[in-house]
Amino acid sequence: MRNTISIKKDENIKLNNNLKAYLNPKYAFFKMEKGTKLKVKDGSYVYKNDIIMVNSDGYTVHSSISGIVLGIKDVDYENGKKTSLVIENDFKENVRIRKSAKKTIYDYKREDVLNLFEDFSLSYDGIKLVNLFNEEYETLVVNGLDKEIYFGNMYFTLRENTSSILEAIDFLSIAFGYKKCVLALSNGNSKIISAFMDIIGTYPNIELRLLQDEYPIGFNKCLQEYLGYTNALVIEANKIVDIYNVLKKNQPITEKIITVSGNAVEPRSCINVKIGTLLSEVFINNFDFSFKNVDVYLNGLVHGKLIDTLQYVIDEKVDGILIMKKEEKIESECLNCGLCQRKCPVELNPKYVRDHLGKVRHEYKDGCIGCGLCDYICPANRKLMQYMKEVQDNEK
Amino acid sequence: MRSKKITSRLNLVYIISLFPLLLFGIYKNIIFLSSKADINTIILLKVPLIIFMSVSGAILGIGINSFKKNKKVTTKDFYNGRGLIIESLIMSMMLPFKTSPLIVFLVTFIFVLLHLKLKLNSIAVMYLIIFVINELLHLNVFDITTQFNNEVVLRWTDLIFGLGEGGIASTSVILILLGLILLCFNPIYKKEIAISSIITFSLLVIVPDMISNNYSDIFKMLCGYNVLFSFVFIAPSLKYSAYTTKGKVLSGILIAVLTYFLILLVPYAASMISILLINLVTPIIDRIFVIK
Ligand code: SF4
Ligand code: SF4
Repeated sequence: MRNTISIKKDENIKLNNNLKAYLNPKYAFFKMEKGTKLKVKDGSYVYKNDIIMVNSDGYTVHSSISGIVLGIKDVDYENGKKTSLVIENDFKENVRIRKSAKKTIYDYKREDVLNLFEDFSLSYDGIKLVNLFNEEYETLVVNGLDKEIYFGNMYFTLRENTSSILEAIDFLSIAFGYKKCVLALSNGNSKIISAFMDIIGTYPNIELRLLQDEYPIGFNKCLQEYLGYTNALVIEANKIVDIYNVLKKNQPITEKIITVSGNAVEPRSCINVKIGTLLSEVFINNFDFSFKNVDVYLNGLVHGKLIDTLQYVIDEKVDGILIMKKEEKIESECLNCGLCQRKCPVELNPKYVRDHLGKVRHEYKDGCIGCGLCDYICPANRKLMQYMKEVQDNEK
Repeated sequence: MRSKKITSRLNLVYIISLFPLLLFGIYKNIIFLSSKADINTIILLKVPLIIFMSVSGAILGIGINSFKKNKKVTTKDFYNGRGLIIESLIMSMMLPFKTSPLIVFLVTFIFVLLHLKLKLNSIAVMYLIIFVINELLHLNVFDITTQFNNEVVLRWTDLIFGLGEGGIASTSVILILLGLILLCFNPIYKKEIAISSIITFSLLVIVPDMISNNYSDIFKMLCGYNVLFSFVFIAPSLKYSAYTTKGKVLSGILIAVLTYFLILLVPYAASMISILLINLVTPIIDRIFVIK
């Protein structure tokens, strides 16, 4: 891996040490892709974990709350406005009685695991987990690094689930026959490292790799290249926790951790929320800031995007929000310095794509991991990543 | 890094690395030369005058341009135009002693006044215009050094330290290389262009000499004709040079090869013409390496 940079962090932006929770949203929103079949009707009652819709490609969507189906509404997601099913919470967390889970995760066989992945539609980066795990890989790499410099999602995931993560990796390596399992952690976090060190002795097949806090190593593709494994399945630690929870509880994933940070918000912390909650609702009830004179970045400073409303639904693509004091960033003419091209970790040429919008071939933009390094590094403040992504999104 | 400061810093490094050369040029042309040859020191003061006139021409051009645009000229206008002022400074350092300061003033002034529409390396263009005028007026002899060359035998070390032929303040190889090292620390300086052109040009000069076992011209070629100076300070121009990594290396090589052949025809304009010609095909070069 050729291009990483160490981004200087503002030392004053520190996250609170406690993981907050906001698990009682008034409403939950669930995105309906094209061809989605609804499994519930307006006005009907849904239990938590019920299947509420099935997407055209067979993904099932589970409700994260119990309550009444209110109907359909257009709301904003990370990747644009989408029609959504709205459920009003009755705050009872009612669930139907389900088949009980096995006593320990080691009681599952490979097929059982794949069936559970299918049943609960576990997916990763838009790919079904069942497909990923059906492929033969030599190595399993678990990514325990935060993508974004000011985010702590991974820190809290690792801290709260140390033994579950190791147990799940160990189990997956047995069930799927991985020759090697690697857990990559940031070497800047001594508490996490020692927590893992304390118990890793029980799992001799798991190798710990401590990595420098460089950007964008937290992105799977970069991590894989950095570690030098060609035939490896790279998966983030929070997904491993999801897998563990699915196996352990026989229930779908309905919660996730997001970060709220920045120099213009109080308190700065990670918060556990229900999938489908509106960001604005989480904010009103937990944080203090006003939209005046701040820059709000969805998903972080470097690879995130500037937004001007908090009416975003928290789905698998939302990792958090960064609220920074306003900084004047005027986009100016390209200086032709070539930094964007030189620093792109996947060796793309964002300047060329930006200068030739609509006229570029596929290979000039395919493979952009959306790390935002080009944007961040451009001395002319040009918005480059946005165009790389826009071009890709338009073609999808 | 997300700031315009990075370009200001590059300008600053340019000035810092040019300064010793400037001082050396004054020393070479005034103190050293007058001690070796029978030349009037007053005449030799023309060196700082040429540089001063060039920079003044640029400042006046920027002032009038700003006046035309917003009717009120502020220091900010000059600050924004500092790139052009530095360019005119670099250009004047390469001129022969005989150049008329008035011509330098007029050319930089007119050039800066009209410059903005031109998509070419401005230093090279300004230099070539003055070069042609000099030729027409039969002034283009880099003779201040030749004059004392007849009286003083220069060793190869003298050439490396900058006492050889060339522009009024662009001949010291040591100081140029020191400047290059300084510039290389700036992330947006296109060092690949400078380094690849220096290496290619050196190889082109050294290898045939090694084969023929005749080293008489080797230092004259390597240290003279403003070649090294233009490879370090002009070829890697931010705006009008390649920006892709391989493109930068390739354009450096091409500039050196072209210079090597043109030097036989127009020694003191060879590197400038090469830079301009490669400047014209830069988009094509970058196009080849869109994906590294
Ligand atoms: S083009 Fe894509 S992968 Fe490359 S630096 Fe920009 S955002 Fe990152
Ligand atoms: S980093 Fe920005 S200014 Fe430099 S080449 Fe890329 S787009 Fe142009």
